Amino acid sequence: MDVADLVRAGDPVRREMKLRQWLPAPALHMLALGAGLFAALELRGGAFLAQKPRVEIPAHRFEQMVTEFRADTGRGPTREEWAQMLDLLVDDEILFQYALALGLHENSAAQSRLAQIAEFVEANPHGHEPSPAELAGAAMELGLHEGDLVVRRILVDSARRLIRGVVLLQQPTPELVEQYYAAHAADFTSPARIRLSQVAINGFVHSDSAARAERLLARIQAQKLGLDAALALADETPAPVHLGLQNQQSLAGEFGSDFAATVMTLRPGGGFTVVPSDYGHHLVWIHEYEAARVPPLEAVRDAVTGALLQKLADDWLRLRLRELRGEFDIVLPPGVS
Amino acid sequence: MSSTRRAWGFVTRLATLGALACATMSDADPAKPAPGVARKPPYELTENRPRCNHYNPQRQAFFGTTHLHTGLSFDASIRFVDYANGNNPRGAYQFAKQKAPINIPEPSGLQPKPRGSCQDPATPSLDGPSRTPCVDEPLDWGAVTDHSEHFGVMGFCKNLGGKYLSESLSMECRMLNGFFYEPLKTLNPGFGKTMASNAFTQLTLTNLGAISQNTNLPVCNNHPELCAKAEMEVWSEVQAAAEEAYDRSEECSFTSFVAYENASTPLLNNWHRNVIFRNDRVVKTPVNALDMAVVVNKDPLKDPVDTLLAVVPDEPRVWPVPPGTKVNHPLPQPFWNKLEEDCTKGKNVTPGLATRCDFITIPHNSNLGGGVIADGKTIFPPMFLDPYNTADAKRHLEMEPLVEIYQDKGASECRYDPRYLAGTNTIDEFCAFEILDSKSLGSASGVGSGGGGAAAPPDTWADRAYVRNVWKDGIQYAAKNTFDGINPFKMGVVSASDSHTGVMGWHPETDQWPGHLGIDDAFPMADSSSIQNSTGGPSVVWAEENTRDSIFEALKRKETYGTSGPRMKVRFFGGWNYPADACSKDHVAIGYQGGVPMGGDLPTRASGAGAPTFITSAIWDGKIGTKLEQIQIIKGWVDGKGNSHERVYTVVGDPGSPLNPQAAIDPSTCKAKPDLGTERLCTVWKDPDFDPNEHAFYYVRVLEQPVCRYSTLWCRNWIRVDPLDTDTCNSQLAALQQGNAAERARASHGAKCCSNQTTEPFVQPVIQERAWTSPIWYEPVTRSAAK
Repeated sequence: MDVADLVRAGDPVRREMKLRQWLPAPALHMLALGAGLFAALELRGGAFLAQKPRVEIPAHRFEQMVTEFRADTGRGPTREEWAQMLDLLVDDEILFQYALALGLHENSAAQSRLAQIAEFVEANPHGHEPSPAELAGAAMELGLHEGDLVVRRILVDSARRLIRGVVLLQQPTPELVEQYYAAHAADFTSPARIRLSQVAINGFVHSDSAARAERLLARIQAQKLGLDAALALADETPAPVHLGLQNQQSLAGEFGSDFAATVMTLRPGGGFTVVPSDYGHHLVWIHEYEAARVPPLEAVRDAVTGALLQKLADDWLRLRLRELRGEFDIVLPPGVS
Repeated sequence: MSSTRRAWGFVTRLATLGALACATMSDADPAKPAPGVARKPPYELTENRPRCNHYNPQRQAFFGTTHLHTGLSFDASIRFVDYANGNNPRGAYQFAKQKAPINIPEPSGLQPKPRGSCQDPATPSLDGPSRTPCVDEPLDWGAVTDHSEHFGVMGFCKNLGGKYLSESLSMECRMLNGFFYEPLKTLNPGFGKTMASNAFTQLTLTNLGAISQNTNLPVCNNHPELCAKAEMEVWSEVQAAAEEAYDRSEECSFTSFVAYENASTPLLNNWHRNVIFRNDRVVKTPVNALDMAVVVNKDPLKDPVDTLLAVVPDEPRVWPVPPGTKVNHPLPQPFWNKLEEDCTKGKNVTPGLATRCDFITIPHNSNLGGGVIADGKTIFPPMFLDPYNTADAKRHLEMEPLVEIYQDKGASECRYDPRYLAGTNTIDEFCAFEILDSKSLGSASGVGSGGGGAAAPPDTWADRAYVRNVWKDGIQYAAKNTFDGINPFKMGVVSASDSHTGVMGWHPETDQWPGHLGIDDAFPMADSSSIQNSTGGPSVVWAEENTRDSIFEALKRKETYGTSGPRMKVRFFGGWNYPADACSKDHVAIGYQGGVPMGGDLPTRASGAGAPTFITSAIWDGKIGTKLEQIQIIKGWVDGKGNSHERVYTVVGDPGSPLNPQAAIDPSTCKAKPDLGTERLCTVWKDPDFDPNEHAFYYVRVLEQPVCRYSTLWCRNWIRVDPLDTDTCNSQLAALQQGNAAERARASHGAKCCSNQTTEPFVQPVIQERAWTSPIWYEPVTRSAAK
């Protein structure tokens, strides 16, 4: 369970308390968010949340999406793809409305775009040279913002980043970091390591190095030779003869991935094993095996914190979208569900 | 031989002998402690950190990248590669470690449905590979090199820290954030791509392409202090991501480098250079294309950008370019000077754990930066400029030890065009490999919406568009004593991807390649330009361990090579007296003890010594499983009359068939016939044509057996046409064009699938993947002594 799960769980009051834990300032950001929420809740008489504003997904927009899909793939969407497309449309529409409620359309870029599109449709609505603000207001009154892709994209992106930013700006509590680390320790685990020696058969000069290795193994076993005696029978190669504790990645870098994968399955006391590598073949002798281990949190705290914040930002965006869905009366196109 | 090199050689031999002694030592538990455990590295340590468990004085091949972009680059952002959706430096490093997939936009510009981990099934895309890929094998090291010129603007546009909401909605940011979003199919099909290309040109010409008075974008010039702050936000994030990705434990699982790219693009010629820092002590402010201005633009709000001519002022910042010189191009010298001042001399360095700042710069895509030639005259110079004087020649030599020989936007080794049966100052037919039809970035692969340029004759390309020719010019300067015997172009090589999708270290010849430019090449076979994109390749260093100091030293001494994708292991040593049977022994120890590795200068030739000998070996990429065909040694030299020459020697393996690799393919599997090739090659070679009075360089090219290019596999799987048979392919494509909506869509996505070596665009349905090593140089004794 992570923080977002904790936030999702519990009753509304408890959830608000959890949210408050998660949404303390940075001052500037929270001021903006708070102002937006205040405007939504109070200046509009609480209508934004209380009366569930109606959000209608236009049939033509969904049809356009399906048409594009057909043009791209030459087939209709599957049930899952259908649901995905609908989800995308609903999420975008909710974020658009949410951005409007927060007043994000009042910023300069959205205003200038609104003024621009107002000029397209109305030569001089005020009888004088209108200011950009007047033009933007006219565009809003005409509802031009609803259909303009540029305005929509600006507002939807802004809303999405605003929501994620709430989390990314936080410093999670040590307890949360510990919880996350406990649940995701595998992502930070130090890999298993192995210590070995090897008797090489030089593959650069012996194309039959596999057969030579098997013959050498048979001889060593027959004569009951120890490691030192076996090493005296090795070919010269660039491969290190003795390796200290190394993980699979390091072994793969030196000898090749097949060698590393095989060697990591071997254990001390098993005698020699023939293993192919980049250099040819080897009789491998295992001295020591050390199982994978979880490092102390302090050694990886920064990485854990970063991963936690990214996950929480994603979770928080999903959660907010789900909550926002509950705050709108969503009307789907006829025949779509 | 310098005293440093002599000392280094001594230490290396000691270390190697120590390891050998340890290797033959007989004891009950010899692997404890490990060989080389003394671990006194033969190079400067700028970091206080444990040595790696895998430390090896004979060095290992570490596969990485020196060049990769994320959604923090302006030209990725305009293609809907989304910083906020995880396509950022952190995401790229996670991808390289195989810890997570990365999100690449769908062709429509929509973000893909994310998948949690590489173990989750890939999300299907629309008639193409997944837009949430994972790397096939983790990388050892890497550097994210986002374009630094727009760091301030990117800080604004991505509203970093939530501080730039107003600026994030500026005109520039609307461009960078893809305000031109249009559904894929409208009355203006391809409108989004066209607008992305237009945005690229607008943004590039505004500041990266100017010559004498470079300036930032208006949103930054209008708010310079805020822009500087935003620039720091981005630069800090790049540094923080690198720090998080760096494994400082003795496991040494991954090494990251703080880095960025200088994207100087004068008149759309590619003069780009990556800047790689040695450790966490880096410049406080990136030095970039703006600093290449001939004249500093002190008031960009008042003075327009002058893109025509400039006169070099009498200022230290442009040293050693002579004052009064008239130029029609920016200058790399002030860029190097400022980096040296700020970093090496420590005048503007971040705090950090390391002892000091150090850097290298790596130019790339000389194939798109060869300049402009008309009627045999140079109208615009190549990125590898003629040095102005001896001091300048030294500057080139010191500042740029490496060059990128291969990446997504084609090969820069050399050019042979089968359509003309001719090359650019070469007759080497193996140079017909991943050559572009474009001469500049303006029309290069994926940049233009149609693009691709035209297949101009090879002799219309500038010689210095190709690295082999640059190397030849370098030894010519030395032979003619132009700059007191200095060779300004003594560069080693790396490969890279230059992918703008955060895909760090994935270079597959498979049908899963998702393109390298977001929405621009989401259907890579649709355009002449994008089908010429390759999948890039890794940079490889021979280093003692996977740490910043060790790898950086390898980069500086040029013990590096690049490949076109496979992770081959290639060794190359040069000396005067290697035994003929070195391959049956530890040829690496012998190589180090008796000479120099790739990137080095042959030791001074003793009086009466014969020709130089070289040891070279190659090990296949067993994971991909394509066997090796041959090792070539390519020699360039300057004769007594001052003319340069080149020759290709197949030193071991099968000489192959350069213009007909398809003959070696089993069309049903699209792989080389199984009885061909070998897993390992090794030989000792003596130059049969050696003249001790001639300057020369030698480098190795390893060729694999042929395989189908990724485009062939892509077209077969996703479009259902077969590029291996052109007539059939054209018939299949024509049938699709007359078919139902699905088939017409496929025909559109695969419009260029039936291209081949004879068409425009030039595309090889079958390629020979390869590796290129840094050269080993030979200078006659007299010249060395004179120096």
